[in-house]
Amino acid sequence: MGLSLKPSKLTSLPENERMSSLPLYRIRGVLIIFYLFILIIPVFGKQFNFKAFDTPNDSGNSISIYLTVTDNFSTGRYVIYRIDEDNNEFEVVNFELSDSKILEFSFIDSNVKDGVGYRYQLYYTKKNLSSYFILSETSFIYSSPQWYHKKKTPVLIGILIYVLVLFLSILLAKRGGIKYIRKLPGLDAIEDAVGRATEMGKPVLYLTGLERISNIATIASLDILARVSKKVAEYETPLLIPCFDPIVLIIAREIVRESYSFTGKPDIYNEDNIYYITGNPFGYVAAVDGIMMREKPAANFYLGAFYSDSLILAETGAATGAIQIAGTDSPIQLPFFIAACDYTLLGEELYAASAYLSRKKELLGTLKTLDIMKILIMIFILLGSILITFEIDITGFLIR
Amino acid sequence: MDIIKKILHLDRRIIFLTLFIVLLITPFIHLEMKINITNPTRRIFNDVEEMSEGDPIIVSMSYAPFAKPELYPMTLAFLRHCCMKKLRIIFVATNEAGMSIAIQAMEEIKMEFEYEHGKDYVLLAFNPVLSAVMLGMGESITDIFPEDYYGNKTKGLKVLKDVNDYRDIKLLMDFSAGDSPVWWVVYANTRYNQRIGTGVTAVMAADFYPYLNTGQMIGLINGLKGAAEYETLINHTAEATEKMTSQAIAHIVIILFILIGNIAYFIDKRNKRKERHGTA
Amino acid sequence: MKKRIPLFIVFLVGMLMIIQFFIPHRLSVTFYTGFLNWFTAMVLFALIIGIGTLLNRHFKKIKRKDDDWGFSIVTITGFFGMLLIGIFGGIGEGTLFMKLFEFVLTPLQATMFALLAFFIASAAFRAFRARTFEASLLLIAALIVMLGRVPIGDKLTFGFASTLTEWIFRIPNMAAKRGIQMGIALGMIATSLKIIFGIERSWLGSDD
Repeated sequence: MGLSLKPSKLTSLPENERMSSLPLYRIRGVLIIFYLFILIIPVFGKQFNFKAFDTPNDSGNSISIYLTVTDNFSTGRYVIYRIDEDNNEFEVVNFELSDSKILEFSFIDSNVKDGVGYRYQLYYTKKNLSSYFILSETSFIYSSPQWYHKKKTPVLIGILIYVLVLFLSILLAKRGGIKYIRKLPGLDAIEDAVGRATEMGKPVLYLTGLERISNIATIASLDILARVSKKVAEYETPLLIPCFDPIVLIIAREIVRESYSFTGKPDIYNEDNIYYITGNPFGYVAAVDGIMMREKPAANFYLGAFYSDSLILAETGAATGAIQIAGTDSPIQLPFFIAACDYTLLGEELYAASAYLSRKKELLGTLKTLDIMKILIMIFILLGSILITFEIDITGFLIR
Repeated sequence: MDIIKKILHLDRRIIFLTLFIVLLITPFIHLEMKINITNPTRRIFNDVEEMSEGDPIIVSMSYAPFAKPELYPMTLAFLRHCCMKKLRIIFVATNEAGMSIAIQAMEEIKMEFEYEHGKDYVLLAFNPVLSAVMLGMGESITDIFPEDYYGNKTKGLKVLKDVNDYRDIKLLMDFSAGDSPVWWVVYANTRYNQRIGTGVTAVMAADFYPYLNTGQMIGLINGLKGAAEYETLINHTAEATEKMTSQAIAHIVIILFILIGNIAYFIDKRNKRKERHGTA
Repeated sequence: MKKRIPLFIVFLVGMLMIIQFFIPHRLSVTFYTGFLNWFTAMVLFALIIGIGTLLNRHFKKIKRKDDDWGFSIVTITGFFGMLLIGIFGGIGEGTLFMKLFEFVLTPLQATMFALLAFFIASAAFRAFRARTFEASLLLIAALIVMLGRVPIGDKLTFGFASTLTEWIFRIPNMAAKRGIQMGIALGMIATSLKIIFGIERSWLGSDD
């Protein structure tokens, strides 16, 4: 129960054979010979290693068992027993090895209770023999849950560095301002696109992508929507937002309503233009293609997460003659958008868009954070490459 | 001259029509072609090949019917291989239509391999919150899926005997038309060290190659060609291998269009240069 | 106050989520799964609102006899038709619901996906022109990958195409993708932190 055999090299027994394995604890009398055998083992050097310990960095109820066997012992049958404080015995694993290489196994016994002591016994028999040797026994091991995942320390350090850099950049931006921001033609074209739609008397179509609200690209898209909808409200152009996710719909409505109120035009806000279609990708794409062909929006915005549907949307939009601005964090969809759209925001530009459009100092400061973090990552990659070239391993130190 | 301009601004409907006619005819043509096996496909095959009878694996169905023509052949080939190896198959669906595709696939092969629901394979219910499923299975599969697709209690099912969480699963194979393999890597591999393999549509495949190199995915079956490779590996030629002819000819047609476009482009460029020199 | 409360909730939940990531204890796991269950319930309620907006829009279109209002009838008939068939006829194997799903919805979706082949062909024809050195490289890579993805390509190139395709996928494609992905990852973290710390407030309508 609750046991896993991690190594792929392990040949596990058929289920019926496992069930009928020897009830070893009933033949304890013979074991004295096996203890004698153990005494002989050191003569041949260390030929197996058996240890059990509380599984680190877990939610509890789990003990890890490690077993290394070498040539002399590798072929044969192994059985590991677990004995609790009340001397109840349980067969944890029973397997046979047919090859004779040095092998390492790790098992996780997840059928244990926290705070209860368990010791593990390793039994072994050569092939075609019915007598088992006890090879090793651990002391009592106690399972417990951990309050900190030690292996995640590098992530914690990374986050702390990021937050520090973020606030420093914002502080610097507020004091001195940002001198230079690379031009993003796609974002500069937003005003033209909305203006063109107004002149033509056609609506603007805005898609937040084919993902749920839990996707950061969708959130970034909603941030941009807040800026775009203000422009649209200023120009008094209809804004169509067919939604893929119902929660996105609710938030999009709220954002657009606020934008119209902010620009002093709450009366022209039309809630019916923001609606849910379906959570089925191609059902959604078919519906949006239909909207494009029927309503002929003059400007199409595809900002968010897109998949294999990106080209179907963008090509249909191109066929209607709309000015198209796309942006996605899915690198594989970028070529499709580049081929079919007028402007494309590449990857991180999608996340930078809100700050770029707002021109607020603290938000522009976050753009600097991206640059600084990128330089830091480049330095780490370079250092990592040097360390690995000279075979210097510091991973043990980092995750200790 | 006029023809060159026409080719350069070719009405896309001509391209659509040509491709349509080609795809209409090619199913009736059969070309004998040797399928070259790529490494990512072979790695999935080898992993399954090394498993022992009764080993449990999870098959995640993450595609809707739209991707069935491309992904179903590989699903079938992979499941056939699992059945040959007598593995226990646990189906989960990250797409609401995924389970019905799993049912269809098992209906097709279960008689041949004498597979029984509840004993050799199980269809777990669909849960729309993927992250909850992906993380929950790391704690307890039967807790996150108390009932199977047919409403049976999962605790006590023979197929789930000794299967508690990811630690008991030899491989998680995700067949996907979206980015679900990445989420399996994030939740199941990074957090619980679950071995992940994936079968994806060709248009999405390039997205997952970085995970192959890092070892976060053990292998990848790439589109219809990948399915044909898997069919070759298990010595069972089926739909994917047969469809290779259509795909091959369609690719050649697209290549020809691109070449024609480029030839026209260069002729046009030369003509323009000549005109400029002429006027100068 | 109208803005402070949402900002405080976002900060609190965001911080709790970051902290729980580092705690493997079962209390943390229970908290996290509890949150996810809560989210599931919210999605279901939102779905009801979503469907409401869809029906409302189409009913209005029919009532006003807007352009193309016939499509609205198709939408509403499809919606209620499937709903009633599912409720009264069941959704198990062999039911009318499943038959409609299998023989109507499946081919329709497959058709949409298949359109991609046609659009790729037309986009490739337009985009793959050797205008510059970089565009020529892109063109050559595209031709190799297209040949490498079909057995005939291997036959024509003596196995060279699929080997080179694999190389393109694994090396140049991956190098570029990793570069873009690192920027994306940093952008994602920045967006998350901006929202958690209340630096980005555009989602509240106005950020002043």
